[in-house]
Amino acid sequence: MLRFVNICLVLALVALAYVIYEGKYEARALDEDIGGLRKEIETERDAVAVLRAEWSLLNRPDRIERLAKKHLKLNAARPQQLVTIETVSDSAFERVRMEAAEDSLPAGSAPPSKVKSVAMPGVAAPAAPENLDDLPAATKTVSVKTVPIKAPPAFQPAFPPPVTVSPPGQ
Amino acid sequence: MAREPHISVTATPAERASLAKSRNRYRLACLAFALSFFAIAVRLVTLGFAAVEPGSGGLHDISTTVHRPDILDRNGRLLATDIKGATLYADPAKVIDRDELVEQVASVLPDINTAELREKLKNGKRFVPIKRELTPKQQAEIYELGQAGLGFIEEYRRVYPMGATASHVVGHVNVDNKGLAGIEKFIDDNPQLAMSAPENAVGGEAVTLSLDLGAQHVLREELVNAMTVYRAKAAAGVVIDVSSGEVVAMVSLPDYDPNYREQALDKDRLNRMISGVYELGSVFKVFTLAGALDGGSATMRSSYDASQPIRVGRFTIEDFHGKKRRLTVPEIFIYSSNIGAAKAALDLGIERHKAFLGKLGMLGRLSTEIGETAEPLIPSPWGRLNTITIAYGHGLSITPLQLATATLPLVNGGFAVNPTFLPRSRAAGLKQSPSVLKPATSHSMLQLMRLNVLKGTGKRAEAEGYRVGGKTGTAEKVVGRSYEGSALLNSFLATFPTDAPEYVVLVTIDEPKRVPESHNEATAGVNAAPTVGKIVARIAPILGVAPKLPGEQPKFDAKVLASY
Repeated sequence: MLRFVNICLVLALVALAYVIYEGKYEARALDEDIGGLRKEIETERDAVAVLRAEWSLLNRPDRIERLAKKHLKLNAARPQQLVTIETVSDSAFERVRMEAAEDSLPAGSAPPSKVKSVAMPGVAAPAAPENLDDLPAATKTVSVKTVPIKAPPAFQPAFPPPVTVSPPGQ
Repeated sequence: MAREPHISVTATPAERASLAKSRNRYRLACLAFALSFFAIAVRLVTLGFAAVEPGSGGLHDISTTVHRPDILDRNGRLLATDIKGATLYADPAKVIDRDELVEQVASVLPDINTAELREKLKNGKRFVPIKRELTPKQQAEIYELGQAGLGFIEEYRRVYPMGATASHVVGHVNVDNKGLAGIEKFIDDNPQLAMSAPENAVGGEAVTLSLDLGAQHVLREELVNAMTVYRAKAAAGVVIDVSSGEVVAMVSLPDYDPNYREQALDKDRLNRMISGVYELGSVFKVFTLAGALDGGSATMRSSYDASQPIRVGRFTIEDFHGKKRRLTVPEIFIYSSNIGAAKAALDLGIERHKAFLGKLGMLGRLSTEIGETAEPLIPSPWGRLNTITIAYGHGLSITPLQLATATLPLVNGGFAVNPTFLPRSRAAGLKQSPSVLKPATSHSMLQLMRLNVLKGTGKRAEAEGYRVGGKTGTAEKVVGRSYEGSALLNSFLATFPTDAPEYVVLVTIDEPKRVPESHNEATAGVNAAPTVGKIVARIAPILGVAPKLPGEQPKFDAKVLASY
């Protein structure tokens, strides 16, 4: 009986030793993986830092201003052009809409049935109502008769494109 | 004794005795083994818990410079950051063929001095730096040379993407990435600053400033323009939030690019805002009249006789825009009467005048994150003549930043807010500041400053819709031992919008010339004032100050909208 217990214990010990040995090597391999990943993260982080620096460099206000002067036909905003949404009443919208409609119509013709809304670039265009008469009175959609907008000239950078920085260490 | 060991009944008495004797030895041995196994077990457990040392990097990768936090403006735009660069060095002791090595390195880096490098390698130091800040491509090519004795050090390098735009506030670092000036130095002295701050986009540390890059750029550009147009020697300007004390823009020209730190050594590029003391001239009348109104020695209706020059000893004090009559307090302000200001100060009293200036912080040093301001030059003893001249801004030299700071209580309802380069809310700014003036004084000063822009010497500072108020200052500079009429230091101290002040703007222009653009004049009203007007017109929208136009409700202009 005692001998049987002893044999079992020895077998258990061997099995345990193997499990521990396996576990240890697995852990070591994982450690190496972690080290490798850490290094990779570090490399990526350095690359991101370089790219952020370059992004800021390209977004310097003086550079943007220079490019805007060169490629855009815009002036500095005058105080008359700055309004808050509170000061723009619905009647103001309505008046503008009527004026625009009258301006563009040849005398005596019927009012236009379809008016397209003009959306500012960068602002999501509101769902364009097909018929203005369907509009609820309080809608804030900026609706004017289509004004021909001069297409801006295609953007042609006059300077050589910036040198792309490849991530270091690769 | 727990129990008797089992002893065979067949044992002889002698055997029995020897067994009993060895029992104690047997126990001792057991104890010794138990202890040693326990010690081994403890050691194993501690080894198991010990952190695994991270795999060491490449053979030659050693980082020598410290990593610094990023510096951001109030809107999170990057003002300073670290990027990694490699420095190539050679270890002469390991070099096999010196000439071959030099030749091969020169084939990758054509700009190195080969003769000098050969000489250095021959002299046999252990560390010969060859080139700093290699590009990754160059580094790879050097690797491919496969030369023994070459190595790289990975170093952090500080870069300032905005260049000179915010140089005097941000400061710069030395070759070891230690902060030498400005906020960079402040970060080194206060390491907790970066730790408490929220992390930047890539999980690194970052310090956020009160500066607004847009406003900073406008201020710098307009000052550069002013310097060019008026052919001035130097210019400086600051924009401070009146309630929070946040400095949203500060420029001193000529400035330097912190990416080329050696430029900072040039004495001419010092930060005039905090390191230079000047007699700032008539802008001091703001404080003289504020003192008189606050001390109760004058009201807005008081008047002083300005028909005769004041004679004190061998000095005669005259008016530049002389009216030769009695002037009321608003008239003294808008005509910038020296005689009137001097009389108002004398009426207030020499001691009270001095105490009032002290209360506004003009007689001490002002402490900010980017360093203390220079020591003001205070006359000692401070007599009657001193009070007379200081009333219109001569005889007391202070830094421009102090002047702008002293203006804050005059326009924000009386709170002596300390300027700061770190973000602070308006409520916190007012809460932390003692009240040094009556709110009524502040109200009167705003009226006077606005009046001066509408009707007085500051007309050209008007920015449509932004209700600018301010005071001109045309100070003659001391050249040698006497005041020089042709060397002027002009300034304009402004606040906007005057109906609910948000910002104070101070611009000083050093030695502007008489040029056609300023109607061949050189007073502050034709150069400093229009510069402030242009600055306000551009920064007010950036800083979110709403324009207010007289007359009708702003017309909604569909054509303008459509053309965008």
